[in-house]
Parts: sequence; C-alpha cells; structure tokens
Amino acid sequence: MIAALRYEWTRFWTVRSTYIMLGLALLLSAALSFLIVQATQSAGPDQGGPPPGTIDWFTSFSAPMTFAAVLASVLGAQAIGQEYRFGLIRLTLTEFPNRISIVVAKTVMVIMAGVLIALVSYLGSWIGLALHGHPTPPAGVTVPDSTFFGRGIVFVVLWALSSFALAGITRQTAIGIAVPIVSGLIVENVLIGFFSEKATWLVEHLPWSSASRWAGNSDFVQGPSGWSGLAVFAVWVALFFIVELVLFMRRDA
Amino acid sequence: MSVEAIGLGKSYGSTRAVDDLTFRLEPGVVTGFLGPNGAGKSTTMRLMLGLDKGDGQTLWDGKKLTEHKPVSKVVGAHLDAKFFHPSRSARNHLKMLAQEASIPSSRIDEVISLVGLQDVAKKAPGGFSLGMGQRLGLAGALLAQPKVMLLDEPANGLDPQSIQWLRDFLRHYASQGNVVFVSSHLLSEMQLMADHLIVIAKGKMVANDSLAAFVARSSGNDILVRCSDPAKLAAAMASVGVHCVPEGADGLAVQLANTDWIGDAAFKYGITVYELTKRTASLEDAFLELTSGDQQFQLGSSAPEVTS
Repeated sequence: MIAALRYEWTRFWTVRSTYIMLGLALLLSAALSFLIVQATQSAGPDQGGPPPGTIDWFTSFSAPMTFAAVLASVLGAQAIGQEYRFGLIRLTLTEFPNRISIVVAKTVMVIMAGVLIALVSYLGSWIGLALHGHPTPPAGVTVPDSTFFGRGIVFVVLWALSSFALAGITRQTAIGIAVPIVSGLIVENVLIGFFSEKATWLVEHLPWSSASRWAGNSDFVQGPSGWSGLAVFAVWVALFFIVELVLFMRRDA
Repeated sequence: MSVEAIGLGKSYGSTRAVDDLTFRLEPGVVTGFLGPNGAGKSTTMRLMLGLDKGDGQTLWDGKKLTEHKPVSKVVGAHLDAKFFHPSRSARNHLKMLAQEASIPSSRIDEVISLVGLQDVAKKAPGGFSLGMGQRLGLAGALLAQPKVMLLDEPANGLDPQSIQWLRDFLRHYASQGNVVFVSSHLLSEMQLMADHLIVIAKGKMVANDSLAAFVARSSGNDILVRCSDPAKLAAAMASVGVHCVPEGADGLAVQLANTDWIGDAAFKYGITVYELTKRTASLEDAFLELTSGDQQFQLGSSAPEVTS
C-alpha cells in the first residue's frame, strides 16, 4: 500500500498539469476575491449593498470554491483518465497487480489534491483581499471559522472525487471533467427550472446542484444547516465510486 | 524462477483470441514468441500479467503475481513503446516506476545510461521517436533487475546497432539465470536471439520447441544436386522412397536424405555430380510454412495487377 502511495505521489508531482492547476487556483481565487471586494464596496449600503466588509469577507473565500472545485476535478479526472489515455495503466497494473491498492492510493491522492487546491484557493482569496487593503478582517466583521473552511474543502474534495470516478467509469479524462461542469452548471439548472414546483424531490436529489446549494447558500456561509445537500452529493459520489471500483476490478487494463 | 502459463484463454465476443495456451518458460533461456498478426501474442502477454481478464492462470515460481512483493523484481514488462505521459520527463517516468521496489536514484541513472538516453533523460518523451520510446520502455522493464523479462516487439523502430545491442543484452540477461520471453516479427533477429520458440496462430499453440528442432522440421531443409542425368537420379531416389523435386535444368531438390547417400547413389548409377549442397531452412521459412493460412488478416498478392 505504501509503495502504491509513493507511486501515485510521484505520478502526481511529475506532470505539469499539477502545477498549472495549483497556479490557476491561486491566481483565479486572488483575482475573484479582489473583484468581489471591489464590486461590493462600489455598491455600498447606500445602493442597497451590504455593510462594508461583511459579505466581502465571506464571499471572497466561498465564491472561488466553484473554480477550485473545477480545477480539482481536472486533477481528479487525470488521476485515472490519463493512465488510460497514454496506456500507463498497463505499466501501473503490472507493478500493482492487486488492483485495490492502486484504487485506494489514487483515491488518497485525489483527496489530497482536492485539499491542496482548496487551501491554495483560500490563500489566493486572502491575497486578493490583502491586495485590496484588507489583509485582516475589519473590526466588527464575523470571521469565517474552521467549519466554514472545512466545508469548502469537503466540497472541493467531493467534486474531485466525482470527476475521478466518472473518468474511471468512462476511461476518459474529458468526460470526468465535463460531466460535473455541464451537469452542475447547465443541465441541472434547466431541470430545476422545469421541475422546481412539479417534482421537488427530483430537484433536491440532483448531484452537483445539491453540492452547490450546500456550498453556495447562506447556510454554507453562516450556519450548520444545509447538510442535506452535502448528503445527496456524497451519496452520488459514493455511487459513482462503487461503479468505478467494480468496473476497474473486472475490466481489461 | 520459472514461469508456467496454464490454460490461458480469452474471447472477444464470439472470437476466441487465445485458446487454452499452456507453456513453461525456463530460466537461462531466451524464449521467442511468434505468430502472425492477430495471433494473440500481445493478449497472451497481458493475460500472463493479469492485465486482461480471461481464463487460466500464470504461476511465477509457483505463485500468482499478486502474491509476490515487490512485483517489479519478479517481472519487468515492456508492452508498448508509447506507454508514457508525454510531458513527464524520461527520468521522472522511471522514477515513478522505481517506487514500487524502492529502487535508488543511482539505478535509474544506470539504466538511462544503459539504454543510451542520458542526453534526453530530462526531456519530455512526447517528441521521442519510436526507437527512443522503445529504449525508455526497456529501461522501465530493466529497472528492478527482474527475474523475468517480458517484451512485446521490443525491436520495432530500433536501428541496426540498437537491435544488435538488444540481442546481445537479452542473451546475456538470460545467461545469468533469468527468464526472457520476447515476441518479434523480425524473424532473422529471433533466429539469432532465441533458444526456444513458442509459436501460436489464431490463438492456438502450433509449436513449442527449441529453435533448432523447429527449423529442422521445415521442408526447406533439403539437398540440391546438380548432375548429368537428373531424371535417372530422381528415379533411383524414388525407388527407395526418397522424394525429389526438379530444380533448374540439371538439378534436383532432395528431401530427407544425406549427401553421402546421394553421392553413393549417383556413383552407382554412373551419374556425374556437378554440385551437392546441403540447404538449411531459415526460421522465416519454417515459420511461414507452419503458419501459412493462419493469418488473421489475409494479404492480397504482392504483385499488383497491371491493366492495359
């Protein structure tokens, strides 16, 4: 198991895309955070905007999480999709014929990648705030606590795992990346538009919009509720993962 | 270390790609694996490694591969010249493969030098030629100094010097008590490299023999006799059940006979012998004879039709 982890660790850190995704997480989060502060301060309370600082601080950290999730999903999908694309899966499984060990090692690395991307994204958000002159929260502003940051990390990790599982099922990196984006940002929104009143149960059980509902609403920012969205997404990810695992164990490499 | 493949089988839909193959690979021997395109050679190798799911099993010193640790010290496999990430440097590719057996960096540098990739070790292999890709694949297979080397068409794309190096290297590797199992379409190379042959066609075993015995079975092993009266000599041969085929104006190709016996017979019948040459079939002759009609994908005529 340790050998498989070392193998995956080396695989992860010896391709350019890892560094590109981490760099993008930093830059995009910094830019988005900066722009959010800029926009909310421009609006101000006189124009119906929030009190100075309050929303800026939370949104600056939470809004980039969707970008972070997409970037983490690239690394998640690549963890298995690129192995099939370049035939490396045959080298990998020759060295690790006990396939379960490589699945576990890859899962650990995808989780680590998700955590890393989320942390780098938070760092980027802080840089954006600092560049705007708010390296520390203004007086009287509620500071995001560890639960807030933890939930963001879980959101990114689960998104990355969903991409990992989908890429494993289809043996395609592109599908692992595209399905969560297309489904979460387009298809599910259309379904919600059609069925929000007719079939509430359906809307409440869509995977990525449930995750976004959990991550994006005020509950995510300020309260402990919203866990049903997380639970729905986690069950979906677990289902994808089980299908991937079964196929991975049974298929030809 | 010996390797025993038992009842290997694999179907793709209704096509039986590999059908009940059983063979044993011995240490100290280079075993060549031959077969026409689509015969099932690559599938067999993948089945041996557990990469493809099928029937049968392969035992490595009596145990399944999953029971060995580290696996890369048991078997080093090179299945394709393009199995690498195009942007991961050659050295990092090997560094990744080295993790399973905790192989030190010094060994990575050693195999890089051995296969002659030291000048491009830090470059991304995306732009490598086929030959360079083969070298990188070989380096990966060699890395942990495995007891078994399993190589699928390793000479493809290599220049003549590299092919010669590969042949000498594999023979030396086998002579150290290791198992070398190698498939190739370069039959002239295989003739120089292999001690033993396993030949399959349409997924079935058609020969499992030493190279010498395999070639000796070919009808291409005969004796050319040029003489003053070939018809008379042919009749003399036929009278004792020896088959002759006319060849040229004054020649006969005689099978299953020896030169002394033919010389004596010619002398007895007063026939002047101009030439008496023992001809040995090549591996290519023997292989083509054995597998004719067993090609999965039959070729057309090599002489194109000319229309006026």
